[in-house]
Amino acid sequence: MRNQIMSEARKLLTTRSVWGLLAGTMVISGLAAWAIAANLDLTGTIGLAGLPGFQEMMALVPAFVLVLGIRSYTDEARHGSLVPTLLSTPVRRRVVGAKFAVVGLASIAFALAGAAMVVGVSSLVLSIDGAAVTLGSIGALAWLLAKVVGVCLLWSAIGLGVGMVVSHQVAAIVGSLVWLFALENLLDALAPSLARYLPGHAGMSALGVEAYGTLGPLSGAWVLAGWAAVCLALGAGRFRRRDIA
Amino acid sequence: MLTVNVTPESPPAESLASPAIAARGLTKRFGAVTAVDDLTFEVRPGRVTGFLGPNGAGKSTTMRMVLGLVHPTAGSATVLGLPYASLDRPASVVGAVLEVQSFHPLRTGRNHLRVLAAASGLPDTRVDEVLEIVDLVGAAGRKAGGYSLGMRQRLALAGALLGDPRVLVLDEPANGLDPQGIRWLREFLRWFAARGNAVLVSSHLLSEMDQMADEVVVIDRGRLVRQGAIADLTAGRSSLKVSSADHAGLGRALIAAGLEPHPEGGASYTVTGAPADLVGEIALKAGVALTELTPHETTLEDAFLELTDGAER
Repeated sequence: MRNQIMSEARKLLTTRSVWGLLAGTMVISGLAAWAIAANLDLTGTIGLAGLPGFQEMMALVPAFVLVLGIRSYTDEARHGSLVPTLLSTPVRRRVVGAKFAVVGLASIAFALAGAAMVVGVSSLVLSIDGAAVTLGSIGALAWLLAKVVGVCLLWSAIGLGVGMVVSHQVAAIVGSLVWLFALENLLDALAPSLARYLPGHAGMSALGVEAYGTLGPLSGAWVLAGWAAVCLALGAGRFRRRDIA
Repeated sequence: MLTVNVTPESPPAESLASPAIAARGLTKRFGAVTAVDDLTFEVRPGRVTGFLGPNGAGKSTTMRMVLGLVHPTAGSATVLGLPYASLDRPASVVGAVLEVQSFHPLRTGRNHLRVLAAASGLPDTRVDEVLEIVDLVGAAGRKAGGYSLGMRQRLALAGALLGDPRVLVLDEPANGLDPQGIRWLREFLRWFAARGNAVLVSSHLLSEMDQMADEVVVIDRGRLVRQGAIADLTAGRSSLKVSSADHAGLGRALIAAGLEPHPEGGASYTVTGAPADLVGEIALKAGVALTELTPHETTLEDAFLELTDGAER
């Protein structure tokens, strides 16, 4: 398994689109932080964990991690490199395990990179406005980051599962983003009590975004974990049976 | 200049005792279409085995079933006695080239091979070795998407050789290679097989296969048509073209000698099963002057077209 993880890590690090996604994560997080922080009317000293709107600033990072997970499989299906991958590692569950481990680790890096941008940009904007941002409570900050990291980890698993089920890269990415940003909101308008159990809403609840937070962080995390488990299981099952013709 | 310079100092591998590849009743159906139908054959060590069939005969599907990429509807395939998925270190057993495009186009050739080497627990130094074998060192730092077709084939072959395998499975490996590259491939495969290793190679270049392979497996519509040495396949099929101004007299003389001349148009006959000197002697005794006596050696292509009814679907 160690060999497969090393191989997947090399794939990730030698693919330009991954670096593009990371750059996108940082840019979007920075812009969100700037937009939100610029509208805050704060003075005095503020601890990082108590930074208003931190969760909202991080709200778009899971979308990038979702795409990261999707492309982990669909890139290989699209370019034909799945054949040499399976010739090297014919036991398909090992391929799935290695991909999960590597996109999971990458999603943590994405989450921390996004958080760093949010902290940096919002601190800069608030300091210009006259507020002083300090580290504050380490424990509270760690809990905040743990929530972000955990949610991103689960979204990367959902992405990997969706990629293995759909296989077609464009269809998987466009379909997932349309679901996340359009269909879930439509369902929210039609049946809010049901919509809160959908992955996008559950993920926001887990992050602590108040507008979607009807489940609460812990329940939201459990529901999202359920979605991740279902997507991974369906994807792995489909991949195991698929003919690579 | 491509040369077969693959560690010539290394001793020949011990010949494999069991069949390198054994397919038993392999069958694959895609919905209502039966791509491969109860196919049984063996690939022996120390041989280059050509895998022939018209387009759509099921060659690629068969190779993919052997390599565990396609699940058989029925039957089984083994490599060195084991299903591919059960091989402990598959890269050291089988090297395969199934598609020319089997890499991320924005990854360099060297990085593509480093990805494969890592999956098999091989050191990066092995990557440099196989790049040298396929003469791709100079282009290894370039994005593989910019490679020519021939370079892509050589990159794929480098990937197949990474684990120093004992069996090679190659699907149309000569596609895109220039004459120099094809010659190199032929010499390389013969060298590889001479060390006791096994090669299963499909190609639609029958003249090339004639020079490259020791034996062939011929399939048509997913079913086995013939397996055997090329010499056995073409033996007994050679013919003579014989002509005379006295067409009728020549025909009578040949029939009287117990031969079966087939009129070929004009003043010619095709005669099979008789050497040229015998036909000449018959004509001489009958007082018939010959204007042509041309031997026609049956090629693998002739035999293939006969076995598959010239099918090209």
